[in-house]
Amino acid sequence: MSGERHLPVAVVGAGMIDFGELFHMSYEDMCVAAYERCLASIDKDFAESEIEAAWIGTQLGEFFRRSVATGALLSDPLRLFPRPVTRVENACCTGAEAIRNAAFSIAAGIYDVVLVVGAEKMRDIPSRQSIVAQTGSVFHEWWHPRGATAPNRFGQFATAHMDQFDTKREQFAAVAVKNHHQGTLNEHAHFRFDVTVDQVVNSPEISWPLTLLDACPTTDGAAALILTHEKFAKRYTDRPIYLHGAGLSTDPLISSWKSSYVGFPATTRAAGEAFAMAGVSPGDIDLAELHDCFSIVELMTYEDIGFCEKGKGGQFIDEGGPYPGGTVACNTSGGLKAKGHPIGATGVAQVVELWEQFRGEAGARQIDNPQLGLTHNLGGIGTVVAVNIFGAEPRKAGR
Amino acid sequence: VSFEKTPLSADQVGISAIGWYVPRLRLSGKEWQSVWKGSPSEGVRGVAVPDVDEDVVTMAVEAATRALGPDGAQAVDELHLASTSAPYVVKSTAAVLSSVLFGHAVRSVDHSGSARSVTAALLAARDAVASGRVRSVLVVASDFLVAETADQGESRFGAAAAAVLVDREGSIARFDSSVAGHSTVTSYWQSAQRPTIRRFDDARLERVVEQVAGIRPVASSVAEPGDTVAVHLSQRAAREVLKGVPGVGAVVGGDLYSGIGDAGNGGILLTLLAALGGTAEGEHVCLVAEGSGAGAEAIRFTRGSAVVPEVDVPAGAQIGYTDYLKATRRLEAALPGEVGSSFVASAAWWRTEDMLLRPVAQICRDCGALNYPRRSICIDCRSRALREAPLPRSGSVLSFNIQHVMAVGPEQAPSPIAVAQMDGVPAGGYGGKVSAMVLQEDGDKLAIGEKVRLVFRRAGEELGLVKYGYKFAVVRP
Repeated sequence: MSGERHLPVAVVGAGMIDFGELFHMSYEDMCVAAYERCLASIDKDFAESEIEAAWIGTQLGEFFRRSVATGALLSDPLRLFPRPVTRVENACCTGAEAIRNAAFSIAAGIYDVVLVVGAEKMRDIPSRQSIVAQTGSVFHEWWHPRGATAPNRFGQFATAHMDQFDTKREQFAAVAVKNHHQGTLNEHAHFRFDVTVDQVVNSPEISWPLTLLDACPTTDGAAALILTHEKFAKRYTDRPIYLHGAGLSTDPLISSWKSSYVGFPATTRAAGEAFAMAGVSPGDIDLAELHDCFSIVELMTYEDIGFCEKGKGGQFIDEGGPYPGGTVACNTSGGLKAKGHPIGATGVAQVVELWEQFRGEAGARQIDNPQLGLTHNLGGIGTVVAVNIFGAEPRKAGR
Repeated sequence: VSFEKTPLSADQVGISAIGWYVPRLRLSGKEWQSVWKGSPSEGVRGVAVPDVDEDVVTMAVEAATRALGPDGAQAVDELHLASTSAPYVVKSTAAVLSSVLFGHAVRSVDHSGSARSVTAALLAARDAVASGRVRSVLVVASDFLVAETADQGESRFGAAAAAVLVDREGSIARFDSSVAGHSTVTSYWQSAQRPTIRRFDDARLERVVEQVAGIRPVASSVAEPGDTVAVHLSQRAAREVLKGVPGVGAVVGGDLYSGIGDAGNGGILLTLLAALGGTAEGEHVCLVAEGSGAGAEAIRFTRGSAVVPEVDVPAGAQIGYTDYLKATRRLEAALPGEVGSSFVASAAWWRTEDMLLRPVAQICRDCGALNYPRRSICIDCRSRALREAPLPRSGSVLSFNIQHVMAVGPEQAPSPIAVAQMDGVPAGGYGGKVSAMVLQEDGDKLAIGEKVRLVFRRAGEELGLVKYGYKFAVVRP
């Protein structure tokens, strides 16, 4: 790759539905509701006919609901046709990838205004049959035996991190406690109750050393953004937010092909790419929405992104680093842990949190004058990682 | 009833290697009695029970692997499996065993129908080698019969597998004469329509049949004075049946039978191994096998010079009757709806069978990395120069967890799962590692750095087709 890479893209509308067990809403209902909230967030006049194309991020349509032609599941209820609608799937990075690919279309000069929706209907099936539980049944080989689930793989990372860095059980439990508290402050969150370190440590074991309260819930949800070229952003709002950098990196899928069991190299690489594009460093970030599918993953992500040294994630949270008012406010929204993790919606909803924070609309969880934030998604077992960096102001040229 | 004695063959053929496996779980007669109140089977302290992830195939693999040793598989030309409790009525069990054990084409033969199948297999192996058609035959016997719920047979039938290598070396024992009897008198049976054994509950009649039409006449016909007789019966039953047979010396098998129960073909072959372990060069062992509804067969062996280990079956771990029902698959978790096809019956299985069962891995000719499962481009250096090699069977734990959330069914929760750096291949890159479940009983022994080895086990079922694979067992010196 040559030359300076830059995505001249702004977010001019962002909305999400309140996440949860939305038994009363269909997939299409959720898409429409998120879209309506997104439209309502646009400050100035906006005609729906200005939308030239749409991207829909959904991971599990075929797997959970036997739905196919996912693009039509957005196009039909929103009456978007005949506009192009593209479905994106990239594990837990699905939402972030829908944003990145939509941004590419603007950067390429193909479209000026596009819609991005992320949506996942997870609770139409019992949580026992969720992707987390099913991993071992969709693969047939003995190295994906019964029990080779997401909790299995992340549990092994926790074991290795404790062994190599003397990380304490209570230190990753503290991630869950922090994010649950943030969830109590967020009307969009699935879980809106506090937990204590004792409760986390003593909740039922799901994958020793991880317990139930280390894990994010199985959640329905949808979120939507309107993206435009940054030069048009002020047509729609005086307070857009700007995409400064986007990075994506891959790493092996199956657990025996990992090069590390104490961190995710793809996070470091994706973050490095995004930081380079944005011309900033980890120390410049005011708030970060991190992929805390399990508490230990957020703790390792502090290290992998560079908020602290490798192996010092436990110390970082002990010293208040990831709390509001700390070094970098991590998961002010409550994260996946409390807000919920409707897979396709997750990466899009993280941007909704940055949108509200940058615009001073985050209510009780508002942090003081944030300028730069990032979203981080980790799919598979660190198999694909997306990091997108956003700013309250446009990226400074030559930075 | 007539008996025909085969004369001593001029061609010297014998046994040159042995191995056996007895699962560690035991259901005691007392435990069975505490549930069903009746008298447990006489002369059996407890029966050996395969765990949920074991069956006739996995036991056979264990026994065969021990008989063959690290390099013995290449010499084998033919495989004979004797079992009356294989997982399928239609679908070869010997073929599965052959795929697991051998990287080359090995003709595989299933012997079934009765507990006399093992002597039929031994004699078929003897004749195949004697004829010059093949050099070396592996004979494996593996059984675990399951009686009907509450039947006393539950406290009688246990599990065992044994294996012997038959060739012209015959350093452990040489085939001598043999004799076959024929009878259709039936003491227990399993109809094709039912998954459990039914019995004609008359121990006295069983003894009389053994005396008149079974063990006694064939033993009398083949045994010479001073011979050791190997018979898979309780000590008391053996004494009764063999009483007055001229020249019978020591009778071996009662202790084994008491410790593991009636293990069918596996138990009979294991009894032979026990007798070989207790005899000296030049002495004779007479193996007598009786199959319900089949009659009896006896083979006389002359002990060779090779030293063999004593058959020493550990006491095992006692289980309750509920765990016994789980292990015998009569107390099963209701699983979510099965998918419409089975991996084991698919083209994908055909493409990957050698990698899944053998298991075949790849070594990079350029960087030496272990690539497993199969790839086209090296996981570490992107070289295309990969050569096939056996997957290393041992390694050390890099990390692990104890899994409580099971994907399909709770049959073995909690389940330890580990990823291990395998021995003898480069470490520190992407390759070189294997991820697998760990034997449930080894969960407490797990720690990072602990040595593990791969063992062959069941990895669930689809549409009644068993998926086989490997688990880690913790190696504690």
